[in-house]
Amino acid sequence: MKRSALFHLHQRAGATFVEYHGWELPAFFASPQQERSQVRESVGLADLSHLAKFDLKVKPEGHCWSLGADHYLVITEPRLDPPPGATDVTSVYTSFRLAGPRTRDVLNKLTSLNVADAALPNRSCAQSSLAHVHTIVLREDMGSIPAFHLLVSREYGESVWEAIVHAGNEFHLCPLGLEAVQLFRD
Amino acid sequence: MKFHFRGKPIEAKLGDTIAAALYRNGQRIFSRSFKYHRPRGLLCVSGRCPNCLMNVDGVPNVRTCITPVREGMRVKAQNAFPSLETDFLSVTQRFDWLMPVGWYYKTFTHPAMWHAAESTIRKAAGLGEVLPTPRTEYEHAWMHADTAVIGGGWSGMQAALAAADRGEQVVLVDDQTALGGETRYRKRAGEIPAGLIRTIHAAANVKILQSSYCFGLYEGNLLGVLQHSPHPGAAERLVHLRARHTVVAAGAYETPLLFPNNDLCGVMLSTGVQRLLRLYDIPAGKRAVIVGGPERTAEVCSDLREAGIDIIGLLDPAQIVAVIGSGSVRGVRTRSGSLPCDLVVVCGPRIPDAGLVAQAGGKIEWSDAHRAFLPKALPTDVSVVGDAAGETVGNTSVSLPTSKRAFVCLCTDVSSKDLCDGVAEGFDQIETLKRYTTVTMGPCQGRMCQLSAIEVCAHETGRSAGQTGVTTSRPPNPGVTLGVLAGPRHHPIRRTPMHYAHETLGAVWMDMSDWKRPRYYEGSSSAGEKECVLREYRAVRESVGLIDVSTLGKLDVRGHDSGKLLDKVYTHRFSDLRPGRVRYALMCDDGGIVLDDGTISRLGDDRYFVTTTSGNLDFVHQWLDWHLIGTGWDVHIVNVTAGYGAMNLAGPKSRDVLGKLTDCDLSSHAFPYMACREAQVNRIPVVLLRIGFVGETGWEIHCPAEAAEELWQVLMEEGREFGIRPFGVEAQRLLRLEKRHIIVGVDTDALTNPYEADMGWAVKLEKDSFVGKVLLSHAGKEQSRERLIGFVLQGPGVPPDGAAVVVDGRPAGRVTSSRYSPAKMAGVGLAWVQVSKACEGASIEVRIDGKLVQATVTMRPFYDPEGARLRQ
Repeated sequence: MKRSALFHLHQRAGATFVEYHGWELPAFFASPQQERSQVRESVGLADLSHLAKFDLKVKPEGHCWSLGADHYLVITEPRLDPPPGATDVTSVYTSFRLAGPRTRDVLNKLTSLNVADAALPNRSCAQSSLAHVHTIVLREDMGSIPAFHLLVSREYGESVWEAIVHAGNEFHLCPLGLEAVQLFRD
Repeated sequence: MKFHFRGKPIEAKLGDTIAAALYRNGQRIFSRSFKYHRPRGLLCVSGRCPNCLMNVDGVPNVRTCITPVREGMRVKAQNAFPSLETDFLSVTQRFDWLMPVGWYYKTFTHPAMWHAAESTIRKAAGLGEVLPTPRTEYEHAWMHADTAVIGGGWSGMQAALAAADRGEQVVLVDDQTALGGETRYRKRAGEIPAGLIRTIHAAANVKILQSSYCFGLYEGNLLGVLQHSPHPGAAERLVHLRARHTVVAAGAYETPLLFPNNDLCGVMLSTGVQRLLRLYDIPAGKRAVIVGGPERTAEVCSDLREAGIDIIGLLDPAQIVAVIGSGSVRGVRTRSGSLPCDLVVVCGPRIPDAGLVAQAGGKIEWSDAHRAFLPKALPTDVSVVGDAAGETVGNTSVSLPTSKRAFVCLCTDVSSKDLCDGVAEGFDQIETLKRYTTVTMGPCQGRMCQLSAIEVCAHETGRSAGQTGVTTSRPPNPGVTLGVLAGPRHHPIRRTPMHYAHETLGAVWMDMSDWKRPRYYEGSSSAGEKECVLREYRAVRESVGLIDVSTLGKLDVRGHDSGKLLDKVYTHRFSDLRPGRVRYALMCDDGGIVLDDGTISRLGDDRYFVTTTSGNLDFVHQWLDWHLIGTGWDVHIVNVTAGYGAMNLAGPKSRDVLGKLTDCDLSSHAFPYMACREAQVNRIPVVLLRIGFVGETGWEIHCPAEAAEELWQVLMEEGREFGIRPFGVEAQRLLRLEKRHIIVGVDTDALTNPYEADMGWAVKLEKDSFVGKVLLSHAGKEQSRERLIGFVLQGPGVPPDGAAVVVDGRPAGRVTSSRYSPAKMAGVGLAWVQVSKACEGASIEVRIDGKLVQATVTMRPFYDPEGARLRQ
């Protein structure tokens, strides 16, 4: 089964795993309901490394993130087909979702990037150093809950996850499993 | 609340700072001075003077007068032995005549003198002791604001509210524990503006940082802010605050006056007395003498009377002969007699706190009207309001008893007499006087002493204060702990997908930049490094070994013109590489200097897979991008390094292991040396490269990172019957050295061209043009000075890297890599030597542990020179 760079870290944290499109993912850490209410009240962090990611030189049809001149990123559910002309970079990134009303407070401890609403509105993106690692920051709110999708080169995954958790301690940041993430999508 | 002072419990009231609680409990001496170890007590009670510095929970130089008490904290005095009350080193003040200003520079000019005194001076010098184990609760944070306001007093709050009303995002930085500024302790300055404070707290777009001070204003309105106890888990937080506009509303602070014994415990600034009274409900004494000009004395008298403190006298500093007392104040001697008292309240001049403006490039100029230095010529996007701009500042002139000793600098015990002596010795400019006497250079950074020093200097030189000028203001001011500048101890680590498999196998790690790589595997054995490496070496040479090479840089290069780009940037030709083949790739700069090497595999007509050395990936990626700019070529380069787990399965049995897991025909006929295939291994999609860095039959296997751990484990499992071993970087280095494969950056340097490194075969000069061609065409023809050779030692030992090569008793080169070669049963290595010595069979000497050992030069690999094993 496919394992993200954070598999061993999740295992140490006592996650209950589930199979999802060939990936071995944490279903939940505490309980999905508890994790969901933590996101509503404060902040939570989920591993989204299993999402399919494609790097393109030309703008595709549908939604994509524009990272720079002639540089686009498409993120889809694992089962979807790649857009034509794309290089599959699914395995290249460890990706996180940081979500909840305290998200910006956590990010402000990790990056000099201005993540205020005015500077980085919903559905916009930026690249910056976060926890000393080059990071693609995608602002992707979940309804009214502020949320960011963060992508770092895979090998830094564990290191950055730990830095985010450490920064989030004061807000009682909790790890989120797949079930809690899916609760928000529905 | 309780805390411990010198091991004894002290009761504190809610809201007390450490110093307030100690003062309430009768403590009067708070520190001993730097040079003379004179007893010092509370003076400013606002964190601006050096008098209350103590050691709190192991951290030295904490300003206890602004540090709130936390339950159970441990507070110790510093710079005093055995105690604050009895300090043996206070004897130094008896010998102050031996230590005039500049004595340090004058006395220790002779080296013998310095050696004799150094150890004693080192022990006596300095302030506080560094914590042996650093704390971890330091944090960094970043903030962005339209307007940053420094100071939470009346003016600061007004400025913040005005900006907030304009709809701006505002950050208000206040160094006190609550908003209000001087209204909190100066009754006459006005009622505490409770309404204003409520409005500010209610404003959604104003963020207030309390107990936070701004220590620097840097380029582009970047403010360094230190926040105390931002949350229970952190001691200090460094906030990088970026603002479009900065408003300095830091107010004005009071400074001492000069008269003999003006530093005794019980001599306190009037604002300090007011703070103790109003913020902590502590009367500073019972019987007070007030000293100072008329502008503040009326207010102070009324406050003292209200607190029930008897006022014994009201004096001009010029009337004072001396303050009497040893340690604490017992009275004041004037020309007309003595006034017994336990408190001397100093109404000193007020200094507009505009140091931040000066740091940012603004000008500070003397104003005769205010008798103070005021900010003028402000930097762009910086404004100054309130007392920081001199609004209510109006000092009277103060006569100076320059002939007598009054302390100007409390931090380093510089007296007015010292300053006069300094001027007399020729240091008559304020900047040189500062450096000679160390005035303004202590922990308070001139807050208490700058104006006095300027006035003394002006008086002695016959200039005005304006002509004398101010010393340069530099951040950080106030000082900050080094710990908070360093921030949280988080260093990023790069882990390969097989990291935990290595850990289970007992890997001994080595750091390669941020990567963790197994140096060798200890396993469960107690064998040393040498044995382990030899074991791994044998496995590869005799059966099969597996190494994690995921750190290799990997680039996916696609598009019709990919071959063109690679031809342009690499020295070899790649447009004619057949799909399914691999070629060694060498990259040079315009000067023909070797930059990087790796392999390039053609996976399809328009698709290449490029590997680079681990450390040069980012550079190579940028280099390719750079040479693509403006060409209009159809090439898409993606860095896929992290996307692939990579491992090298090598050894005579590698085909047997891999064959169990794949349908791909691995025979040399179907899959020859330097071929590549896309295949499935254990149903995992992989790219197989048949290459041989270590010199045996083997495959470099690249698979999706998320499946790499599984593939590693399957290969180890299937290889068990052949005695497979994981091998680390150390064994790999030995194996490659036996094959004379170079490592760019280890065996080459910033001057190496391919011909010198014996790699001219990788340069195709017949190509149209490529980076480095012009210079390489010359280099190929001309005789170079040095060449990289191989050598086999004739005697025992292995030379260290960089060891000297000697020919005929003269230095002739240096060793770049060397190891004991089990194949040659001798030390072997690579070395740069003069071209004349670079011929097969030549004799050189290598220096090992100071002895010269004979060695023979060879230009061929040490192991399997024909490369037969690779092709098997």
